[in-house]
Amino acid sequence: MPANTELITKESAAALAPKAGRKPAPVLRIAFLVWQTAIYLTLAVFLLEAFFYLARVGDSEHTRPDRKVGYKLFANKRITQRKEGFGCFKLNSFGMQNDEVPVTKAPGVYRVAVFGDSYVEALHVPRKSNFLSVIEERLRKETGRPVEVLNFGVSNYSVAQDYLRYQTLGRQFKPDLVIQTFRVEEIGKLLPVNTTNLLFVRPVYFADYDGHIKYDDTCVRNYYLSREGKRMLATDWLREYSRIWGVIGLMRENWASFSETVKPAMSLFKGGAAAPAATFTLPTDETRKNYANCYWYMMDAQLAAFARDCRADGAQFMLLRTPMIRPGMNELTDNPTETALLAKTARKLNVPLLNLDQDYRSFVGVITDDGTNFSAGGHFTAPMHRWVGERVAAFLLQERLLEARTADRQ
Amino acid sequence: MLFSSISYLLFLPPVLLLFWLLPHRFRGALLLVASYYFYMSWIPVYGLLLFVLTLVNYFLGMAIYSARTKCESQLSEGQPTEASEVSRRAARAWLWLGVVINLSTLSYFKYTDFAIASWNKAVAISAPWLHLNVQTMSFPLQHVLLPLGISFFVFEFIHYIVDVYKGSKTIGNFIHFSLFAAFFPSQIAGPIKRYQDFIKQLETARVFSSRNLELGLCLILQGLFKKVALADNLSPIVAQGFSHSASLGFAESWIASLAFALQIYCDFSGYTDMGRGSALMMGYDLPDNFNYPYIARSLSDFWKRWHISLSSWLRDYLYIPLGGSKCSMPRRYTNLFLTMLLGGLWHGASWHFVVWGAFHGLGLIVCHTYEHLLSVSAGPISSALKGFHASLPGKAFSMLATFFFVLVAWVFFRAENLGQAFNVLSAMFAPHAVSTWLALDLERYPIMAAVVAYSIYRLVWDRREEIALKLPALVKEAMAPLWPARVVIYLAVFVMATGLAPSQASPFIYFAF
Repeated sequence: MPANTELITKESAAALAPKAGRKPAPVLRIAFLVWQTAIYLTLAVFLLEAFFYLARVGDSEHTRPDRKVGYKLFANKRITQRKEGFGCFKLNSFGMQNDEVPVTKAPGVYRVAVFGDSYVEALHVPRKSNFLSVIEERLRKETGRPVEVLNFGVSNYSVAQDYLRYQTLGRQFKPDLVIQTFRVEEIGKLLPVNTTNLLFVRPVYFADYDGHIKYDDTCVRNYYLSREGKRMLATDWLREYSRIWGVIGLMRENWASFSETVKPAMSLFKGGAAAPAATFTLPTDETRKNYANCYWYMMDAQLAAFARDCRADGAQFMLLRTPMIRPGMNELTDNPTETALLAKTARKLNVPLLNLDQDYRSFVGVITDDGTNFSAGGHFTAPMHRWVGERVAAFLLQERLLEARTADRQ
Repeated sequence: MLFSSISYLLFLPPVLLLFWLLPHRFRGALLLVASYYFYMSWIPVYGLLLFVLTLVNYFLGMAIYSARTKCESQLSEGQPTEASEVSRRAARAWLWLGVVINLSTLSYFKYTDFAIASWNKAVAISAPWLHLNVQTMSFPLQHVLLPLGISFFVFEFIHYIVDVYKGSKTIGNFIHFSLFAAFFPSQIAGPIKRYQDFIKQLETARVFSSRNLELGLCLILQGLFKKVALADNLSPIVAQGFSHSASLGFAESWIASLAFALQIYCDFSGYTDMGRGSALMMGYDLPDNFNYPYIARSLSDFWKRWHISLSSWLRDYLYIPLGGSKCSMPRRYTNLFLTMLLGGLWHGASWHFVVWGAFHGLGLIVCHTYEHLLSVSAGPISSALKGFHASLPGKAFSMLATFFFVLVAWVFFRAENLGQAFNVLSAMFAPHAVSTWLALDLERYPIMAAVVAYSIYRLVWDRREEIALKLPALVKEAMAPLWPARVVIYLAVFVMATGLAPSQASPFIYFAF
């Protein structure tokens, strides 16, 4: 590319015109053109893939469609996350954001399985800094016995998906303790949503008033039949292995957010107001309260089923409520009705509940965060992971959950 | 609208298409409409400011030209000197009016809050001694929003009226004159154009050339890479370094300063490349602003390579009118110092910019004195020094010394205030904190990969002719990419730049000036 450019004017254009001479036959010229383009294209793809691999770019795609759970993590894929922090990891062969772990538990090992969404998945900090590693480190240190904390977190998962993940993956690891994290407004994920965004494709568990649950995957089936779903499935290999494709995915994301910003302006030309985005939102505190009261029986039934299964498998079950800040906002989010209902469910199911939301409010003394503990996207930063990890570990020790488990086993 | 945004990606192609489809006589109007759209996509009302200033300067140019030509014709017709003197004074009065209007506008938008804040601070400091009432003597800040590119187009207007006063022709076509200030490829951050060159190009019908189109595209891609892959990845590292200035360790402070030196070059020259590339796609040649500034072997050499259009403007419209170098040495050095001081103030309404300018002014004085002493003395020491500077190690030393000076000066430029600048400098030269490397979060940004990729590209591109000479003719012919292969290359560069870009884009640094 030029540092100094030479300008073409009418006079110089004539001088630059190609001189007449013997030219090869048109067929040969076309063949050469095709051959050369193919060579350059191959080289470009190869070099770009190699470059992106070394630069750890284009690695952010981490979920693939799944018929049963809606979506799940890729197995054995390296993920580099640069938004809201930095993390570079290889997902293990089971598709967990965890180091490789044998299915069979070694004798004497105490295994904790943590389920939840992106707060648990923790792509925004190094693996050694996430709260699961902190729990593992603290418990090992305090108890002097081998402890394994397994990460089953997946971005934007609902409790129903966590339960499904336990059934399809988690239970084979025979955890001694299952921790279900419960972020504010989990109830927002109770109902099915028809969407083309993979991270919102969720099967649900409907429940009757007697607490029986019924698996419903209509949204997943619809997604698989949708254009976007078919595109995702068709490009699954590329999404897993191609960094160039990962970059193209980022471009698509940028384009989508740009389109969102210009939509209101474009609608003026089309002669109408912009159509509201088809997302599920709870607009007011009043609505949140009513919604939580109305639909909690479904959550109650799911948690009861999850706890029941864990107990049947010989594992203890525990609820962890984490503080949360909405993406792009600085204020702590709370839904007091949901908090109260969760506490009621925990009492009913006789499972321990650790509510860090309240603890965090007392700890910081304000309901805002200046970016010290939460990233701009609302996720935990490394200091916050440590804070959460230490509190969870202290709670487990205080509640003598490890000891109880050891006694059970004896 | 940023050159590196999707909006610009959607804006440029239709403008280009229309430009080449329309006959020459409509192209100026098209570009003017496009340029105002480009400008007003930020804050529409500031389009009005640009228009009013354009109108005022257009008529001022006419008035100056009319008075000047009247004076010239009176002189040539041998009329009494008094009559020509009246015309000459009229031309001069119009010129001064123009300079005052332009500088007042710039001062209002750029320096009002700076002046108020400085006054308030001075009052607060002197109040105990002078028994002043701080409450009554202080003024509230006005929070005037700086119109984008005002420093650039105001300098272009001043250049225009001064040159017309000095004997150049006016621009008769109002559309062309408006376009001179509003031309979107150079509107927000220059380069500061000279109207004689630009108008000549506007008046001549541009001939479509696929070569210019491709060269323009290359420049845009090069600028895009510099901006999004290099500057934008360096920006958060620099920001983290400077915001933690009080606890910065030795290594971190040097990394932050070096990162800023690279960031500002890539950011500004990237912008210029994209602007020049966009103009070139329409057949217009804008002046280049950079010529490898960090390999300069002296400070005066640096200013011939860095922001060339500004330094030449300052030379022609400030340094020379002040007396330039055709006066006594103390006066010359005073002129030099004043020019750099005002150049610093032009960059931003803050004392750290003034100190940056003063630092460069002092550096230039030392540099000139040294060069002068070297040229006039003929002793063995002088010959040895001359020999040293001509040798390879001497050249490398001069280059490093110049870069070192520029780097230290950049700390004043980047810091948000003088306190922050001194914190960073003290960490660089008198480290008190242990480097933790954590504050800079270096791993988060793929900056090393971007630097390596860009360095390889520069090494190959700058030596392309030497490399081509070493290749066998057959290989050379087979490798010379035909248009589909070139499209592949450009797409690959675009994907690479986009892939390396951080999720959070930073605005161009010079947009703030």
